[in-house]
Amino acid sequence: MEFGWTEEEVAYRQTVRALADEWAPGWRDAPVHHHFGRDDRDRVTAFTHELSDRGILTAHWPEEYGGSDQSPWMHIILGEELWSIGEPRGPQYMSVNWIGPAIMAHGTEAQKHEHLGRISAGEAFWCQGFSEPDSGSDLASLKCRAAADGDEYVVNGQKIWTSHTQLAEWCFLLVRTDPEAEPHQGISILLVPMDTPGIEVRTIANVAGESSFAEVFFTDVRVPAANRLGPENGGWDIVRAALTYERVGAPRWQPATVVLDYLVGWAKENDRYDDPIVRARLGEAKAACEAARLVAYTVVDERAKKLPPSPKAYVARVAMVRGEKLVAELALWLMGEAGIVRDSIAGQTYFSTLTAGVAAGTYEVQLNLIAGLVLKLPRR
Amino acid sequence: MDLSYDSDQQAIVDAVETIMIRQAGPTRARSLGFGGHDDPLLRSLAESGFLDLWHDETIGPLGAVFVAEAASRHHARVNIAVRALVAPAMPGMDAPRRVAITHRGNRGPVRFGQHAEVLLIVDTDGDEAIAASVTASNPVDSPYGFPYAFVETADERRLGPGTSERLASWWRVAIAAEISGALDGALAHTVAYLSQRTQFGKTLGSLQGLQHRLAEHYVWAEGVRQLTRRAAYDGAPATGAAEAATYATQAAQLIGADTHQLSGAIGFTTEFDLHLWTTRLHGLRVEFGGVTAHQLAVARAHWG
Repeated sequence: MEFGWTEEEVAYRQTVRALADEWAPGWRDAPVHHHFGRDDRDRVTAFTHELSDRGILTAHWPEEYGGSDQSPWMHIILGEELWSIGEPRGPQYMSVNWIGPAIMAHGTEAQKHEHLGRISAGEAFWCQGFSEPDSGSDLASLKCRAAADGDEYVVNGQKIWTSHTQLAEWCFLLVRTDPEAEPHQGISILLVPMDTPGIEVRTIANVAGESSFAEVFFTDVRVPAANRLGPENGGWDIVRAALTYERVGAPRWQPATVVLDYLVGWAKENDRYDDPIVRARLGEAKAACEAARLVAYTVVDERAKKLPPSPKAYVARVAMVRGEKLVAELALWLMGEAGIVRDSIAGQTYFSTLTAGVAAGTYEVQLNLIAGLVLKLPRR
Repeated sequence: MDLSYDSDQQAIVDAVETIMIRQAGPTRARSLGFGGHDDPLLRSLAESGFLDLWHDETIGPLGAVFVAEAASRHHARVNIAVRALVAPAMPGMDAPRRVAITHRGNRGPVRFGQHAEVLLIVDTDGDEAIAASVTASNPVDSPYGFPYAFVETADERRLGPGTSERLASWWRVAIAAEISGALDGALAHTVAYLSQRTQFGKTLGSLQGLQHRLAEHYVWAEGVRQLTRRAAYDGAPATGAAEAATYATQAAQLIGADTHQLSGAIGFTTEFDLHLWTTRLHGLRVEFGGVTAHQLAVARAHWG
C-alpha cells in the first residue's frame, strides 16, 4: 500500500493543467459549472482534438483502440484537472470513461471500427438513453420497446433526463427486447444515431436554470440489428458494469475543492475568514472532499489492477455526493444574500449540486447496494 | 499509488491480528476494566517489534497505523497508537514502552496517564514539543473506555524547533487510527446484531430505514480509513493529519451514538460488547480539542 504519485504522473498532471489553462484561460479563477450547447461543438472538439493529438484523451485505452495502455491513474488525473476548470471535454468525458470501454468489451469488430476511432480522436458525442418516466431508480423496469423486424429493431418508447442531447450524434440506448422475460433479463443495448427518423428531442428546463436535460421520444425508429451491443436480452450486465465506471467517472470532488478555495478567497475579501465558525465549516468540507477523493481512488486502484468492478464504486459515490453537497450548502450559508445572485458561486453551485445525489443512480440506491452487497444485511 | 497491502504489510496485519485475537478482545478488556493496563499484551507487542515499525524502512508509520487500528478494534488496553505512531516522530527520542500525550492548556485528565513513564506535550503556544517524566498520577473514574488520570511531571525536555506541530499532526493521525479501528468494531457488531434480531416478524437489518443508516456509517468508516492511512504514508502533513482527525471525530460522534440507537436497549448494557468501542469513540473524539480544533487546523494548514 502506498499513496504516492510517480514522477510520470506528476509530469502528466502538469501537462494537462497547462493545456487546460491555455484552452480555457480564467476558468480556474472563476469556478462555475459549464454547460455546453450546440454552439459549443467546435470549441469542445478543438480541445478534444488537441488532447487526442497529444495522446492524452484516451491514454488509458489499449493501444489497439487508439490508447497507449496507460494506467487508469493517468485517466483520473486527466479527469481531476479538467473537472477542476469546468470539464472542457463537454460530454466527451462520458465517451472515453465508459461508452468506449463498453464497446471494447462487448462490441462487434464493425462497432469497434465505427466508434472507437472517433471517440479516441475526440470527435464523438454521445448521450445515454437510460431513465424513463416510470423507470428511474428501478431502471430494470424500463419499457422502451425494441421489436425485432427482420434485420432491424423497431423502437417505440420514451427516455427522460437524458443529458447532452444538444450535441449528441449517438445514443447508448437501453431497450426491452423481451417483454415476457424477468425485468433484468429482457433488456438489450442499441447504439442509435440520433438523426434516425422517428427520434424527437424536447429539452426540459430545470431548477438550476440549465437546459441540459431532455426527454427523447422514439416512434417507429428503425435500428439495424447490427447496432445491438452485446447479446440480445443480455444488456443488463453490460450496463451495470458501465454504471460502476459512470459513478466515479466524473471526479466531482475536484470541482467541489476548487469551489472551496474560491469560498476561502471570498471569505477573506469579505472579512468573514476571521470567524472561527466559518473556518471550521471550511475545514469540515475540505476533509469531506478529501475523503471522497481517497475512497474513489480505491475504485481506480481496482481498475488499475484489472479487477472486476466491485461495490466500492457505490461507496465512492456516496462519499462524493456528501462532499459536494457539503460544499454547496457551505457556499450558500457563507455567502448568504450575496449567494442569491445566479452568477455568484453559490448561485452557480447550489442547485446544480442537487443533481449529484440523483444522477448515475440515486444516493439511496447506492445505500441499498452497500447494505446488500457490502454489509450483507438480510433481505427479509 | 497502490491501495492493497504489499507482502510485508500483509504479514504485519496478519501477525498483529493473531496477537490481538489471542491476548486482547472483549473478555480481556472487561477483566482489566476501563482503568486497567494490559502489561502482557504490551510486552508481546514490544517483543514482536510492533513498537518499532515506524523507523523500519520496509514498513514505516503506515505499519504502525495497522497496529493501532487492530488494537482499537480488539479493545486492547495499551496506548499503542501513541507509543508506536507518535513517539517515534520525535527526533532523538528513545521512548520507553509506556508513553502518554497531552497538550498545554488541557484541563482534563490524560489518557493512560497513570500508566505512562513519559508524557509528551504539544506546546500549542510554542514551537517545541516537550517530553516529561511522569512522577505521580491521580486516576479519575471515567465512563469513556480508557484509563484516565491527572499527572504530575518533572524533568521537562524540549524536543527541538518545529516538533510541537509535528507532534500535533502525528497525534491527530493516531486519534484517527484508533477511531478507525473502533468504528470497524462497532459497525461489524451492530450489523451482526441487526442481522439476527427479529421484530414485527422481520429481521431488523432488512428494514431499509436501518440499512441506509448502516450503509452511511460504512462510508464514513471507509473515508476515515483512507484519510488516516494516506496521512501516515505522507508523513503526517498538517493538512492530511487534520483532515483525517476531522473526518474521524465526526464519524465517531455519529456512529458512537447511532449504533446504540440501532441496537436498542441491549446496546446500553455492559454485557453487550458495543460499549467497549463506543465509549472509546467518545473519549477519542474530544481529545486534543475535538472536532472543531481539527477543523480549524485543516483551515489553518490549507489557507492560513
